Amino acid sequence: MGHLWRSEPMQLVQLFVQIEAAHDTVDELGNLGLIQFRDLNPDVNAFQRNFVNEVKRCDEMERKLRFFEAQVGQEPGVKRLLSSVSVDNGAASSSSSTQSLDELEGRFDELEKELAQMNANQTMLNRNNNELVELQHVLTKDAVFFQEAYGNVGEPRRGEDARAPLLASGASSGVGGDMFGAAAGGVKLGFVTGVIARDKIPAFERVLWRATRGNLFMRQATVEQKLRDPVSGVEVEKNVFIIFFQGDRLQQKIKKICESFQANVYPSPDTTRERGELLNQVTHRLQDLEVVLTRSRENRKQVLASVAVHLQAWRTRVMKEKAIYHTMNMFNYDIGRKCLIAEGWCPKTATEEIQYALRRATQRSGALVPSILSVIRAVHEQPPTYNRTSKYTKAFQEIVNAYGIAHYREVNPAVLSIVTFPFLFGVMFGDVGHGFFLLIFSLILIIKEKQLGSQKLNEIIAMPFGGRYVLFLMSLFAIYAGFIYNEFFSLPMDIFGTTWHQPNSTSGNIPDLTRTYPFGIDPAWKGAPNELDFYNSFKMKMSIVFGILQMSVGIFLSFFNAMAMKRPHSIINMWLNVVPQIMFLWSIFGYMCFLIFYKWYIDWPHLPPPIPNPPFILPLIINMFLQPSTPPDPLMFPGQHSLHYFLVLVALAAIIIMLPVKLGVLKYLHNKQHQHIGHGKQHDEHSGSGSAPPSPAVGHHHHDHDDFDDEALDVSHGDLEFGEVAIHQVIHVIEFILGAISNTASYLRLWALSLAHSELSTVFWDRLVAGPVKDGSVPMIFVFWSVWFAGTFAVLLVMESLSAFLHALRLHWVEFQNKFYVGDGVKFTPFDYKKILNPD
Amino acid sequence: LSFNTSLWSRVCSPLSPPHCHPFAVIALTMVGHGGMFTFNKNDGYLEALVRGYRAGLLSQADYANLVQCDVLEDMKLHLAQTDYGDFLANEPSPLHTTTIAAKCLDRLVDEFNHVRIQAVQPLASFLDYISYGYMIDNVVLLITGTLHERDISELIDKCHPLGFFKSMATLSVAHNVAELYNNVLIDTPLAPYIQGCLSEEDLDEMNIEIIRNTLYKAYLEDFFKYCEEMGGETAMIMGEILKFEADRRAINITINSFGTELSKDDREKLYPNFGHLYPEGIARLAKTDDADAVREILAAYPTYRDVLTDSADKSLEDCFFEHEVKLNKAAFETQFGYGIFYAYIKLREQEIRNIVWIAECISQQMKTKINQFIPIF
Repeated sequence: MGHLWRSEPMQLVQLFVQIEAAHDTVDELGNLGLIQFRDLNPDVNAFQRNFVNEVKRCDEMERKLRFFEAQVGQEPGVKRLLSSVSVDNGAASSSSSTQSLDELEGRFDELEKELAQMNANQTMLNRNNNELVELQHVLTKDAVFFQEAYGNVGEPRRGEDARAPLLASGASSGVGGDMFGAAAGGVKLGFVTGVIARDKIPAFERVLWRATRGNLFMRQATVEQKLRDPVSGVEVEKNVFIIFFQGDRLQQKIKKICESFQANVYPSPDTTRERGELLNQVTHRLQDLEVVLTRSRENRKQVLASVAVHLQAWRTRVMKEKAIYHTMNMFNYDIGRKCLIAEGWCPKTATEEIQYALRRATQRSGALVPSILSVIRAVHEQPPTYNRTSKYTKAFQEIVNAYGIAHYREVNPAVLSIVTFPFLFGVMFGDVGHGFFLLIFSLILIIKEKQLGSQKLNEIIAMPFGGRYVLFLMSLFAIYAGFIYNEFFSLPMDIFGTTWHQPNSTSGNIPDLTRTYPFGIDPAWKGAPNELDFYNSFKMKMSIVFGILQMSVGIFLSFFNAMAMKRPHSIINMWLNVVPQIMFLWSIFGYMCFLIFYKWYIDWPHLPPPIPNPPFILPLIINMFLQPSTPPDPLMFPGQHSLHYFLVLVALAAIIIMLPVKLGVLKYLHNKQHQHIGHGKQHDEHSGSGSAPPSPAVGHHHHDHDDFDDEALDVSHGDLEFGEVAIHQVIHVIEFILGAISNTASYLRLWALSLAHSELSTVFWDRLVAGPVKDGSVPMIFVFWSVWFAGTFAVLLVMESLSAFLHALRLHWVEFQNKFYVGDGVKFTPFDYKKILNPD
Repeated sequence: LSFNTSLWSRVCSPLSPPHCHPFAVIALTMVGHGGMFTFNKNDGYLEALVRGYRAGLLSQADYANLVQCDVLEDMKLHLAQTDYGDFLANEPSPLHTTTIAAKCLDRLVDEFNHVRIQAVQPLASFLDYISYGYMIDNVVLLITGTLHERDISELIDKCHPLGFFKSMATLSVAHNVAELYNNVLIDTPLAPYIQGCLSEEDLDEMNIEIIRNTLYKAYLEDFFKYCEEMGGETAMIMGEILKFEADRRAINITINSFGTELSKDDREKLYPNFGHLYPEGIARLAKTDDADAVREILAAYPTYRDVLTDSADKSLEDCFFEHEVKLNKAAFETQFGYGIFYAYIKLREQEIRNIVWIAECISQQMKTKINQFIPIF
């Protein structure tokens, strides 16, 4: 517990590392994860640092790895391999760490080239394949087009025109648009045929029509087979088209348009026989190509599989290397001595471990000169805050950190939060049944800890998983408070036998005065006509008592903070801040708590002079301040009035100490310090005005002065402007006094939430379960029971627990921590491989 | 503050009708286009987005660092620390200037499209108007390229992605303006602009220049009219920027026409019919024969006097760019107007020009000229 109470003592260390040992040293320190390096070259550009070339190399290697990963990702079979490998990457990474970076880089280079070559080949093969497939389609569809043309003799002119040349032709075949004279009218009719992406067809048709002024005949047919674009790898739907036209110029134009629409134009012979031959040829070539394609695909798969096995380890390795060089870029490079100088914060307790790591690194690298670690003094810089946590305390520390990182060596509120946070939650969420469900949930999370911790969780699960131990304690306290309130899903449990009995039906319950209910609240109160009055009075008072208790603890914690300060600040803070705060709080609200207990303790109706209506506490306290001269009526105990006078005086005295007295003391200290500085300055002037003083004396004097300055800074704590300090103090005091009242009132939320919780669960039970059971319809009981359970789960277990959690959080952050917590620290972020490899 | 000044400038401006009660004008400025009551409803998010983009423009310190780079990889390393992020991370070394330029442009296009997709009217058509300018450039590029028998796919790669339109590639089919119009442009938003120069003449260099300038003239006039109709801050800011753009074109046309066969009458037809120079300056420009005369004419206009005074060691073009940057930066001082969308695109383009300039200087070892870029912020 000791290490949680205050953050670890830190030290600023300087490392002198031989240049040849630097890499291994940083590597070892990264494994250790206990040192946070300072950037010693903050003014140097990223690209002008010493090891920028190595960083660039790592960037380049990362790029190649990304390329490999993308390639692997394209092959579903190999991709599976990747995910199965990543589980046991620990073993793989250790094997690859023996390889040097140069070797790896060479290997990556080779692989990248090999893959690029393979991809280029594959693309080419695919393109060939696509072309052949397209040609095949063109040929088969063209046959249909021409067939239709034969059939459509009845069609007016185009059918005629189209048929005539085909029948007559013996002309040679060329690149698609062949011209053949129709014997009859001397009309020149040609055709272009090819394949075009289907989505371009409307625009294509329109442009063609416009360009030829409608002088063309176009037919098209869909290609059922989807073709993969060889470059982008996207599947494209295409159509075969054939365009008949007239004249040379049109041919040029149409070809250009085809080109601009990225349509592939294919040669198609004119006669059926020739087309058939070509088709056969194409089919043969396609079959051959298929074999080649399969083989090259297999080949590629094998290469990728060999990559996939190592990919995870490689990536880890490169990320580590990059982190090492990034870190080394923060070091100073002493060219003369050929060594790197690093500065960083580390916990004082870690010196041994770091020394050991340094020695290991020196051995590993075989450097002749061992690395040196020396502790240096930090000037004007707050050391980082490092709270060592276990998996149990981590979540509580996170709750505090979410508000603000503790000032270096400040009292850590997380220690007390471990108990108070779940306890206050329990007060608001008190119900045995609901707490039990919460307990089961948290236990599941805890039991499955190993399994869940190793995988990446989604946000909704990750949140309760991170706080599983908080949840566990919260549920225990909820059950405990449930027993105190005696509520199980809003129903009372008669465990010990109620102490109230009912002699006859007309008169109400009579208490059995021989014994008290041993634990918690007597079940008889549940359902009694004055149930709410009783519970409200109890819970309200309880909230105030807990609140005052927690706030007092907060003030005491500021007492520990004051103790840790240097003199005279510790004394000022202790006697002029902490003590009067306690005086003020206890003189009013401490007294109030006393009255609460006193009122509970006294059996008012059976006092010697019986008091039927015991006095109300709140008006009593208010009157104590507003009308101190009128005695309380009735007196609760002898001497109460004099006590009131005394308490009012104590409260006033506290304010006087906190404001005028403290300001006076601060002013006095401030003046004294000013005098000292003024004195020093006078000295300075004297020595300056003295004619040609010997230089060593001046040097010595200055040295003295510097020392004093340091001391002065420590004492004054930076409050050089007195006015500012005064205003600050006034604000502080007003805030405390108003806060004492408003914060106490704020603790009433404990009552409000627990009331809301219990009322809500009562309503759910009465309306949804008790009612239908009374009506006696069996199916309705099932229906309503499930509605009740769903409501209990969604509203009471999920929403109510969230709201109770938030209110507990607020009570800690605002009401508790504002009494002592500064929270302006800087978190310790050591150079740690674990964090680099798993950023979240 | 910006609200107050803009309001008063509106109330007191000569544009507002004199019979109008000032409060009526104020009421109008609140609910009409660019009114502060309604602007954020549709365009507030996108305006905020663009202001965020603008915050990502390179600062003086960034330029100071970039200038110190020795190789392009250093630039990549530094740009990685700016809003450009890892945009070059997947580019293999060694880098080329063209890759950097292309990637920068990609980012600009991504940002523009991101805004354009989410925009509703009238911002959507305002953004479309911005892209028309690039369409004109693309059209001219394509027909020039076809004239020189260049491969169409190669030409398309060179086109500005903001000015892509569907049947772009078909431009290579056209041999004269009428064909150009009938086959391709009729489907594009540029159709109305080209109607001024329809002719059956075959395309040649001269023709193309005329087409470009006629298109641009019509485009600018249309855009200007659109902004004026929109009113509010948009009219104010865009008015200034477009007037300057019109004047710049007029001056450039004049200077470039010296020593060519372009007749003065033809030249006059190319001048946009608005701007600071319009009408007197334009009329005088139409009659000049040499560059000194142009300078004399411009001296009568305070805006351009200032622009051109310190042009001893800078080219006219750089002076214009500098002034443009100034105007565009001013757009960010106002709110409730579309000016910043236009201004951002232009500033970003200037930044890309700067980066490319620096990269070129670095790769060609011309360190002496490296500082001749135009810093923005």
